Amino acid sequence: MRLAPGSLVWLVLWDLRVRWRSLGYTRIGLSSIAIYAAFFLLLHGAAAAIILEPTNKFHTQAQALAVLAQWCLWGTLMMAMFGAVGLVRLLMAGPELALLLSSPLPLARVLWSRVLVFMVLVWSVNLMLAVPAADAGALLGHPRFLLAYPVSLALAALVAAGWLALAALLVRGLGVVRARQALWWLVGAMPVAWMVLVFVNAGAGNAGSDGTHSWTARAAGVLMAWPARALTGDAGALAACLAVAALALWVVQRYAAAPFHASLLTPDAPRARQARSARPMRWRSSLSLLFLSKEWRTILREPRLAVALFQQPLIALMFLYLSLQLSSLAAGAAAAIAETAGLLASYLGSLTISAEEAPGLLAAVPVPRARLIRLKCVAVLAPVIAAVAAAALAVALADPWAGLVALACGCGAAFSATAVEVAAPYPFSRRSFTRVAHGRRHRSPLDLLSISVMILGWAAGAWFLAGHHWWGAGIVFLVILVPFWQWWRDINREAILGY
Amino acid sequence: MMPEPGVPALCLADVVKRFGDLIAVDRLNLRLARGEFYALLGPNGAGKTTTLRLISGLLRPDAGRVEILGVDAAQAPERAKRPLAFVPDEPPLYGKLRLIEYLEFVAGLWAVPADAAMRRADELLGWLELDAARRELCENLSRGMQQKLALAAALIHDPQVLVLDEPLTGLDAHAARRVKDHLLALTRRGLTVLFSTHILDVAEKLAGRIGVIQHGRLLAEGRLDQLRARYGGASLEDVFLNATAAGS
Repeated sequence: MRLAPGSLVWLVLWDLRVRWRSLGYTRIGLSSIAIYAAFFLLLHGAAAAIILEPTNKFHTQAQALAVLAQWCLWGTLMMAMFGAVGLVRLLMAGPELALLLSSPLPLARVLWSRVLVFMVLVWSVNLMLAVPAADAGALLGHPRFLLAYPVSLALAALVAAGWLALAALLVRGLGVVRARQALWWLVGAMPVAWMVLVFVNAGAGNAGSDGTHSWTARAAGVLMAWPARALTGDAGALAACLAVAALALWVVQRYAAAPFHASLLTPDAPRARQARSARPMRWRSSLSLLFLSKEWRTILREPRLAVALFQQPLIALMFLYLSLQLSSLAAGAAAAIAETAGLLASYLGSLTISAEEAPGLLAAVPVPRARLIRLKCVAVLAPVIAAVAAAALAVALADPWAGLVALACGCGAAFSATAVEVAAPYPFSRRSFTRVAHGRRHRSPLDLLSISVMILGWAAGAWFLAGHHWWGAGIVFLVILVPFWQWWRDINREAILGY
Repeated sequence: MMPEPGVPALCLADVVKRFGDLIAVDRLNLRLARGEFYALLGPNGAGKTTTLRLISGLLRPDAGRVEILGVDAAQAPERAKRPLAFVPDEPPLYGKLRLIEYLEFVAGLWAVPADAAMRRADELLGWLELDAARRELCENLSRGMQQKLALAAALIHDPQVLVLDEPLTGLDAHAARRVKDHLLALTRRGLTVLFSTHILDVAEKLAGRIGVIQHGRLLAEGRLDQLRARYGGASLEDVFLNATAAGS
């Protein structure tokens, strides 16, 4: 079937194709599909194991649904995060839309296409959260779990509507440029707020009669009442969810169109030139200090990068959350620390080492490349190791062994993730990096997965070792090999002298 | 670093660079004396930028030798780069650093003492009319101002060899004139300049010697009058077209 050029579906498909290619894939190869399919199956297996393992009482649908509701809650949070990032990029980044705006397409169609793409991106997060749990539940003999699909779609629509409404309000109240900045900072603040919520609830986290913790039960009760009823097969609740989502989306789209239009027509204006040239500045000549300040200034002054940096610990919260269900808090904390350290170091390493903004400058300086790389590693590792040490100390106060494991595995994960960037840098432009957030890496799917597995491996090793399961050391041994494997696979080794 | 008398400022001997099957630079030989202003011309894809990147250390030659003031860039890269400055066609700036922070950073890379770097920065910013914007983020500068900043950064450590890739891109006529005059003044004080450009008029007015490359090979080299005599034509444009046509 050939789609009519300029139609809504045509626009959405083009946009999704561009998003896919921004991940580094120019076409959908069989190997990419195979690797992602394997990963997807693995997620399903993990979901089934997690649902079945802890209580071994999945016989009642109510308890199973409670678990699924928790997954959905996480999914909702993740959708909210990704939704905000996607919203700012899709709706608020004027230059990206210049072509569409200059075309004779109606504005409403452009808006709807962006909103639909936004919803698809938001909903795709559920591929990794609620969907595996729902599929596993269905395969285990509870087909009603498949209702998670329409329910999560309704949630995606609500998240989209919520962020659109907020964006419209901010644009009206603050103007377009400030609204963009405010949205970035809101996105950045959300993981912190969630972290606080987790710890507050963890403190009062007595298990409820149904096996869930009180805070999750309460949160699910407030946020997920209708979706949870819909998940049990309540047709009325399901219809209500979908109706409310559609209504919210329509209302917001109806009233957000004007600020949206305004945002498209208002480019990011540079601030007025500052005439503060008389203000003295203290010059430094220490290369190490200059390098560290350069690396950190260029990250923290870029809202997109800074927000993405603050979001990295988000996934680690999953370990804390699961630890409340499956294990001790200390073991979960050790795993969370290792995971966070790995993610942070990987993110910072890719920014500072692979996405060096001015390789042409550094290539020409009379400083050995090895020293430049060392300085970059220090810029990456110093803050991560400091954070790991502080967090490990907090864990050690409750459980000294778990604190020690957290310190060792956290440092190990950070060093391994940095070593991967040093061993196999994949240079790319930081400008394109910021334009497409932190998804753009021109590594093969196998490389990407191996890095993710390595970081997860450190977290799993920490989890098991903190629980005195010594075979966790075996996992650690395996993941230590990943940077060496990456070095062996590095196709850029000869081509790049670089800095 | 003072070179021994007779040592060329820049010397490329049989330099080869391949990208897969493509030979970007093919046994290229160049020799620039101190204080020389040399223009490297060539059609798109001729290997000009690759040549400049080989000299600056961004690329490693597959064969041949690059020497800067007599120092082999492969044997002692840090020593070879010390007297060199390179300005690529895209200004190598950090968008989120302020202009003055950027100059501080570049001065630190070449280990220029803080006091000297401050003085030099003031001079350069004044000369390039960037003084009012010294606390501005680099990303907020116009393209021309970014180009001027890249040039200021290249000159902050007082280099002896300056390699420029399309140095006048984005500059207005007034700024371009200032830059050209200043570079000529610097060459009279011993600075060696190698630059690539598509603006033949600039090469004709500034360069003491001109090299034309195509398919990575040096087709012609010499003063403008020598090239005219060899290839015919009244202007450098005629010479360039005749030389590249003969090379094809």
